Amino acid sequence: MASTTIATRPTTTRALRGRLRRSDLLPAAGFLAPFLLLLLIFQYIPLALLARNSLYDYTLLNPDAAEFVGFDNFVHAFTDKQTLQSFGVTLLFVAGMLIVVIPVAMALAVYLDGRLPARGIVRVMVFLPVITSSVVVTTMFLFLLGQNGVLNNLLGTTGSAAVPFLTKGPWALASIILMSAWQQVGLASVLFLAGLQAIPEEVREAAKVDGAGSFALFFRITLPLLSRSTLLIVVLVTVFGLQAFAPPLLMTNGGPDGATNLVVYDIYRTAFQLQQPGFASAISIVLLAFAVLISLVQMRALRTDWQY
Amino acid sequence: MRQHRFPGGAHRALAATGAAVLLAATLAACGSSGGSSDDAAAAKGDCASGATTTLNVLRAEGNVPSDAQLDAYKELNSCVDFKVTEVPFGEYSTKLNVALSSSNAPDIIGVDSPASANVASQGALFALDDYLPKGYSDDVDAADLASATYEDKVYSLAVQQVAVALFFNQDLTDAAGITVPTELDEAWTWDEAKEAMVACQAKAGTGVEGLAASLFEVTVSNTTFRDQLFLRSAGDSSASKSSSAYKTFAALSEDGTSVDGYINSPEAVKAATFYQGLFTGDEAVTSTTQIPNEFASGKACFDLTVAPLVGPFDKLPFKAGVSPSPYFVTPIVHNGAVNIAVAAKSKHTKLAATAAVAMASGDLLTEWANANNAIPPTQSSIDDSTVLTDPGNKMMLDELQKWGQPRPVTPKYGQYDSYLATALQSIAQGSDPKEALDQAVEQIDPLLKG
Repeated sequence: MASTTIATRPTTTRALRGRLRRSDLLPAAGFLAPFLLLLLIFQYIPLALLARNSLYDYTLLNPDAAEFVGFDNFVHAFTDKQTLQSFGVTLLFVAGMLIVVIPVAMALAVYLDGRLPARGIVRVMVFLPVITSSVVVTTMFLFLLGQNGVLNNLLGTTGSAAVPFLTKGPWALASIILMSAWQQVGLASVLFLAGLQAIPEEVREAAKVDGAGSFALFFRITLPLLSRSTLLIVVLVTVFGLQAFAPPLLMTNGGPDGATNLVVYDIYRTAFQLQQPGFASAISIVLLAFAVLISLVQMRALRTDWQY
Repeated sequence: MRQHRFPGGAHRALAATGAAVLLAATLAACGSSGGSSDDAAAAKGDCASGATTTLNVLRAEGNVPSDAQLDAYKELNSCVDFKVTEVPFGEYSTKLNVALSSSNAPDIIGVDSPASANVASQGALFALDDYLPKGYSDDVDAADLASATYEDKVYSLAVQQVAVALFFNQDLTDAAGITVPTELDEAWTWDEAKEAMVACQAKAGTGVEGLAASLFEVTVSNTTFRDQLFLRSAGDSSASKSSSAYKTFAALSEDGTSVDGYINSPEAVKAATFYQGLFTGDEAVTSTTQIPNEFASGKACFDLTVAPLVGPFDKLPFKAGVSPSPYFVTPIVHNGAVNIAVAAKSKHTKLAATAAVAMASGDLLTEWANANNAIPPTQSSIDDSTVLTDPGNKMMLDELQKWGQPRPVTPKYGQYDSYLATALQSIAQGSDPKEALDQAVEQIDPLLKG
C-alpha cells in the first residue's frame, strides 16, 4: 500500500515561530524602516565615504585634486610618532577613567540603594554633570585648574606654589581624567543602581541565612551578580573615553608635549589644521577597529554564563 | 523649380533643441568667465535701477572686510550688496577650508596673509593682477606683497600693517627705576629686556607679571607671528647663506623644501632655551595662561603685542609707552595681517575682484585706515594717514619699514605654522627645546618635500 503524506498545518513550536516571523515581517519592516533609513544616511553612508577617503590624499581646499594612495595613509598611521602617541595617551585616558569611575560609581550606587538620608538629592547631584554639556564642564574646569585659576589662587593664599594642573604632562592628563570621570560617574552609578535593584532579595537572604557577613555578601554575591551592569558600564566608559574631544580642544590643545593629545583631537587637527583629511580618515578607521576590538575583548572577559 | 519645404515636426524639435543648447552654452561660457556681462556693468556701477548683485562675504569676527569697508564701497557702487557670514577667529581657518571648496563658495573672504600662498596653491583663490591699480606693486609694502603672491600672481590684498612692539606700563617701570628705550636704534636685546622684566615684576609685587601672557593662540597662525621672532632674531641676515646663522634668520630653505638646520639650528635652540626661561624657572616673567586685558588692567609691566590690541594710550588707566621689539642678534618683526581675497569658485569673480581692490587701495583704504587707527599698506595711503600720531602705530611702522619680514612663504604654511606653534608651546611648558624643535622638523620636512 502506497503511503501518502498529507501536508498539515505546522504544529511544532519551531514551525509556528517561523510562520509567525514571516507574517510579522512586513509591519516590523515598516516600523524599523525610518530608523534604518536614518542610520543608513547618517551612519553607514558616511562610514563608507570615510573608508573611501582614507585611500586618498587630498586637501579640503581642493578635494577634486585627490590622489589615490591605497593603504599609504594606514601605513603612515601605524608609523607616525604623533598618531601612535595619541593612541597611547587615549588608552591611558580610558584606563584612568575606568579606574576612577567604576569603584566610585559602585560606591554611590550602594549608597543610593540603601535607606540612608538625602538619597534623592544625592541622586540629582550625581546625575547633573551627565546632562551638562561637555563644553560647559570643560570651561568650568579650565577656570578652576588654570595657572591663575581658582585652585591655584587658593593655594597662593596658603603660601603654596601654584600647581601646573594643565601645563605639566602627568598633571594635565590626570586633570582631564578626573574631570571626565566626574562628568560620567553619575551615569555609571545610575546603571549600577538599576543592576543592584534587579538582584532578587531572596539571593541575599539565602546568603545571610548561610552566614554571609556584609563583606562576603557584597564581594561574593552582589558583585558577581552585577557583572552584566559592570560590562555595560565598562563598554560605555571605554567608548566615551575613546571619543573624548572637548578637553584637549578647549583646555590643553593636546599638550603639554602631546600629553593630552587624544585620538579624536588628533584626527580633528590632522584634518582641519594640517589639511590632511585623507590621513585623518585612515586614523578614524583605525580608531573604529580599535574600539570594536576593545569592546569585544571586554565583553569576552566579563561575560556571564548564568541567568537569574 | 525646387520647392523649399518648411521643417516638419521632427525638424522643428531639432531646431528648438539646438537653439536651447546654444543658449545654454552661451550662458555657461558667460558664467565660466566669472560672471555675466551684468557683473561687468555692475562693477562699473552701471546697473538697472534697483537691481543689485549680492556678494557673499566670509570673515572672522572683528576682521576685514569690515562692515565699514563694505558700506563705503556700497556708497560708491549701488549695484552691489553684501551678505556677511562671521565666524569666531579660532574656527575661521577650518570654516574657510570647507567653504572655499563647496559649490556655494563665498565671493569675498578674509585670509591671513601668510596663508595666501597655501590657499592659492590649491586653486582656491582668484588672481587679482588684472584688477590692480597702476603702480600698485610699487606703492604697496614689499613684504606684504611677497606674502600675498604665489607664482608671480597676487592673490590677496593687504589693508593694514601690524607688527609686535614692546608696550610698557611706565608707572610700573618708573617705580622700578627702569628707563625703557623708545627709539628703534636703542632697542633692547632680549637679555636686557628680561632683566628689566624681572626687576619690574619684583618691584610690582604679587599679581603682576613682568611680561603679559601672549594673546596669540596656538590654534591659529598667530603664535608664530610673535614667538617665532625669538628664534629668527637669533640668526644673522648678513651672514653667509650657507651659515647656520643665516639659516636661523631665514627659517626655511630657499627652495622651500626643508626646515632642518633652519628652525632647529644651534642658534634657534639657544633662543628657544631663553624663551623657555621666560615661562619657567626662578626668573619666569610670564605664563602660558591667557588673562584677558592683563596689560590694560595694569597686571603686567610689559606686553609684546600689536598696537590694536593695546588700544589708544589715553584710554589706559596708567601712563603707557612703546619700545621696539627686543632681539638677540638681528632685529626683526613679522609683517602681515588679514588680507582681502576673492574665492576662485565665486560666481561673481569680476565684481568681487573690483570690490576687493577698491577696498584695499586708494581713497577707500585711506579713509578706512584713518577711521580705524590702522596703518595702511600702501605708501600713498600712509602719506595721507592721520594714524601715525599714535605712538604705537608710529613704532609699528618704523619697525616694519626697517625690520619687517614676511613669515616664511610656503604653500604649506598652515602646517608649518601649526607644528612650530605646537613646539613653541611645548617649550614654554618645559619640554626640551632641542627635542621639541627636532620633532617639529621631523613633522614639517615631509610635508614640504611632498
